[in-house]
Amino acid sequence: MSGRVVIPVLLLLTITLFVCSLMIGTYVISLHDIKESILRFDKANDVHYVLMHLRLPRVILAFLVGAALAFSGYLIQIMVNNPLAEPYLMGTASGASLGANLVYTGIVPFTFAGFQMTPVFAFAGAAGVSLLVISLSYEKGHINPAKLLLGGVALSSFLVAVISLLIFFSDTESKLKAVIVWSMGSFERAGWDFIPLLTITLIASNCIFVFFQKHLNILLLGESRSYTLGVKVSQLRWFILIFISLNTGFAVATSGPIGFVGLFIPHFVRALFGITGRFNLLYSSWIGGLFILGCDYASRIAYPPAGLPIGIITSFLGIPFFVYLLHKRNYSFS
Amino acid sequence: MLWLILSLVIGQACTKHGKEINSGGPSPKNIPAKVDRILSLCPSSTEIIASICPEKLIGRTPYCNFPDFVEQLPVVNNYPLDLEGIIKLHPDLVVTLEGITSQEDIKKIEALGIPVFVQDFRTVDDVLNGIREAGMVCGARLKADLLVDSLEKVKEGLLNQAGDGKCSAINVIWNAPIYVHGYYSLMSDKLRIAGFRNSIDASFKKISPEVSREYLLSMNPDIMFCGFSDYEKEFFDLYPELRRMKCYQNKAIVKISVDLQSRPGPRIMEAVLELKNSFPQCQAE
Repeated sequence: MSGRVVIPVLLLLTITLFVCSLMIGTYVISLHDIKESILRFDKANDVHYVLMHLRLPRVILAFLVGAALAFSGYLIQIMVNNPLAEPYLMGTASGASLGANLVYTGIVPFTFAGFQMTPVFAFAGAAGVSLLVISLSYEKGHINPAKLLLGGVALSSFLVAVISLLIFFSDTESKLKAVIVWSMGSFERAGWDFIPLLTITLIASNCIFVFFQKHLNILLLGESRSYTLGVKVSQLRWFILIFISLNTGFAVATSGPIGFVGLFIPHFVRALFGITGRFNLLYSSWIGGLFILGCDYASRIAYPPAGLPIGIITSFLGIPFFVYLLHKRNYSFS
Repeated sequence: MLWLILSLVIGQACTKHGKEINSGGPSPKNIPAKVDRILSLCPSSTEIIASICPEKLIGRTPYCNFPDFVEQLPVVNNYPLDLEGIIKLHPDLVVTLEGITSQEDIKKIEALGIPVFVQDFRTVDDVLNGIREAGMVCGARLKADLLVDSLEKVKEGLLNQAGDGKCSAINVIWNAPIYVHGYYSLMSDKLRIAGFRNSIDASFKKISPEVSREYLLSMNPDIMFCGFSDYEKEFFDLYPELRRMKCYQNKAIVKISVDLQSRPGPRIMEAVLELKNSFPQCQAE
């Protein structure tokens, strides 16, 4: 599909979804209110305050998280040359869940020195587990993709057992609910402090990898052929892993693990623009962001005002379309 | 204090009769006519049985800690259910609350030939009726009636003092996500008797719904009740936006006793009094 057609459509969708998402919630907010709060922000005005401090960061965060997960999904599928790969393959989600559970079950305080500990521990867990899986798959200066996959699965299973133990010993129903709701993903706690790190990481990642798209496409041909064609496979894999870990870590730390988007969007992009499309990574990020933004909007329409956990909506909306894609298009991964 | 007064009143009433009073009245379905060994699988059930027929209580859960003497009783785990512990105690009857013990566990206990008495409380009146019912079941009807009569008097007194619910209140149960007691909760009824109005509207059908920051800002409650030991750190540091609420601005945030408020039993009016006394300015002149 041509970029000339796609870019205006995506732009129109982005603007529409952003505006619609800003208008939906407990307060009735019109287009005029949005314009007023941008041009003449009044801190004392409840509508302006809600718009700028609750809805706008939520909408931006939803877009960024979707973009980061789809970006990471695209890269990991190429890196391990497996269409089933997704960003949480390296145990990131389990690591983050363990970190968050340590806070929710009361082992770690909710706040320390004014900082919320849930995202901090979730990121520490995600990064720690990613590092451990990478070190397990490290072999004579190379990353062994098969070991990476197996290490990720094994470590995830172990962490799930630890999390189950924590949940089992949680003494109140509320703690249990908190853990369950977190594990389904939510943007309800979005704030401006979550935005900068994820924005910088995502923009930097996209800027860097857009220049490596050719190398990524070659990597799809397999390790030995990539070497023959002059790609420094080992270095490229390290590079990919660092950026996947950062993007997934920040995404999961801010909103909890959101499944499916990292698996589905890269396939959708390949189906639209071809397996070796020049701007596939950028489109993955953009469409991933839009998908999650749309899911967040749908979740708030389906169950106002709090909204359903986002993970439920991503699966409900995404899976039927994914199945359609697999059956109706002559799509293949390699 | 209220507990002490009520115990004295009941104690006095029982002494007058000189022996244990058996109700002889009708019992709920499948409950044996004579019950001597009662096992409680829920802290509020423990409090109810302990208040009307303490001598028949033979076991409790790890969370039962009131009144003090129950801590001497054998412990049976309620979740996951310690079936062996139940068999070992040979109870005639197991008492619990709806939602605390799963249907599957109830069936397992009943398969042992032990009947299960499940109570369900949505309002303060349900709790009072529940105490009467428990009195019938354990053969202490008069004792239960006396207790409930005195509780009803306290309730009537409080309702007479209660204003028109001009002050709105919320009770925050948990901070991440934010869970509150909903419109259809027992807490709503307790707030009404205490002279407040639950800020959470009837659109939430759940007893303890999850609410958004935006919703709380739009409801803007006058008073916030919570169980946090440090609400600044545990709640408002997480959600600084909520410092705009009236309750925060007017320093109308009260820490309540979680055990007392979460156990619908003989201390129900003590729980209402705790709410009421925290903001006497909201009551009728």
